[in-house]
Amino acid sequence: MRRRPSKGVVLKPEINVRKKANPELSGSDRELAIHNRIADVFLTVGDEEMYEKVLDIVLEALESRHGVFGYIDPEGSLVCPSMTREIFAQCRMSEADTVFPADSWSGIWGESLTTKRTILSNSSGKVPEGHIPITRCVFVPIVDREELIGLLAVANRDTDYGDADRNLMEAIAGRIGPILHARLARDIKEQERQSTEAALHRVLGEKDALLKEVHHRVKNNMAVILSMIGLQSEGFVHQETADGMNKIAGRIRAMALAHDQLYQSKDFQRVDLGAYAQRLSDALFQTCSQQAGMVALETRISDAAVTIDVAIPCGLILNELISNSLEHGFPGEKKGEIVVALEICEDGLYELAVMDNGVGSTLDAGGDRGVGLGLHLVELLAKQLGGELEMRWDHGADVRVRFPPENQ
Amino acid sequence: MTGPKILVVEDEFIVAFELKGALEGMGYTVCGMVSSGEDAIECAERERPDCVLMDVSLRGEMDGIEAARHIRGRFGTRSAFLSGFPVEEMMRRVADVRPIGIFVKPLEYGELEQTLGTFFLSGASEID
Repeated sequence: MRRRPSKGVVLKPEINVRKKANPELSGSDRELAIHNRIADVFLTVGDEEMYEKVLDIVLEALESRHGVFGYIDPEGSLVCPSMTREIFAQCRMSEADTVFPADSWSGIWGESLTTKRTILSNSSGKVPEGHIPITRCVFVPIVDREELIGLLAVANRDTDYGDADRNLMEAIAGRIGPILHARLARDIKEQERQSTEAALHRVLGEKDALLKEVHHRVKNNMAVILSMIGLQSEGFVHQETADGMNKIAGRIRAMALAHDQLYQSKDFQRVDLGAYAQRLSDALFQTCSQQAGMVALETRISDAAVTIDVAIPCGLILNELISNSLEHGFPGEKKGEIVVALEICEDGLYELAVMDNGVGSTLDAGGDRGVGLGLHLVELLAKQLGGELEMRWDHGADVRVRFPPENQ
Repeated sequence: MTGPKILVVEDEFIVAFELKGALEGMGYTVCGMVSSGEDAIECAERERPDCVLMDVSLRGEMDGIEAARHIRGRFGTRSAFLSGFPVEEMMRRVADVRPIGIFVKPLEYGELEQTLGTFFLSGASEID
């Protein structure tokens, strides 16, 4: 069967016509030149081609046709990125597979690896079926600080390998050891970093999914609570009781809207207070459609982001004040305007204000503006925000809460 | 009752029950109340509602948008959607099935009444 050569072909059929490597250089100079070339490859060539390039240099120096340069991976398997498919043609592995687990090590190369000793042979050895014949070979384990970290091998030179070849191979392997070790250590660190990063991403994704789930549950629960209030209210014959229930429903709606706004933030950290105030004002005007027809809404809202702990009291304050204005500020189809404002003051405090040009003080108007549970809630919530409350009822309502954006 | 028939698909039964009362108060007939996409398709086939009020997140494999797509494809019936959180990705999918409206829970009934009223009055319910 004809086999396609893979990317990392190391078959060098032209080896004999190649010029001998600088024959005028003395043995140690020649060795130094080889070391320098290998060191250069290690420094400049990326992982994909490095093994192949180093092997090329070794094959040239040893005038050999075939060879292997591989490393031991963290699992203890021999990995040969530079090996050609011609060499292990009859592989038990798939096309891309050049990984040999320790328990599959056999033959001369297996012996060299397990004993961590050089093996030189000038006689044809037994090879697996389909494997290219090995006539002569030198297998040198690459060892760093007593630890086996790789394998360097050449094979099938036209002449016998001798002690000089063995010494040269061992010298090369000895030089490669520390650099290969550093490279492998770097790869392991990089892999660890990548897997840590992947794990972090996974955990973050899980956190997001969990938070989404929780917020969804909160919203659903509020919807169920509102439905129960709605159903219960159907039985009330007294207007006062029904109104009370409506007020409670309104407050829960305001809270639900804050959660909705938080959900829109994507990171679940901050609520866009401006957008929330706008939506809440619009929703309240929509519910009180009777008054809303006569009363205009004006919003003057700055961009501000706050935590849900700040957003909910703000929402409840707005809910009370806007409802109060709509319900009591404009009796008898009186026309007018309600202004909702959110401002960031120069001292860094936020100011939330609801103003209207409706009826004035409670005493003048004879109404119940400025008293009641709603305004008591506003007082409490302002305190909760660590803020200052200012209420004026001279010409309509003018209620302001100034509070620090970061409560605590 | 003779008002247009509405199928309610909502997996919170209390919410569904209150919704039924509200819809009947508006003069509609609630022809079915189911809590899964699969049941919704089956009920739509049997009852042939004039529109479906569909919660987006449902129990079971199929979500509300998927169920609405099936119902529209098979019976031509359009849906109005209810959602706790109308996020962008969901809105894109909803847009594909020509929704009558999208309502954020907790529901504002005034808004719902207005949208449904417009839908039936305009005759849009007949076209699809």
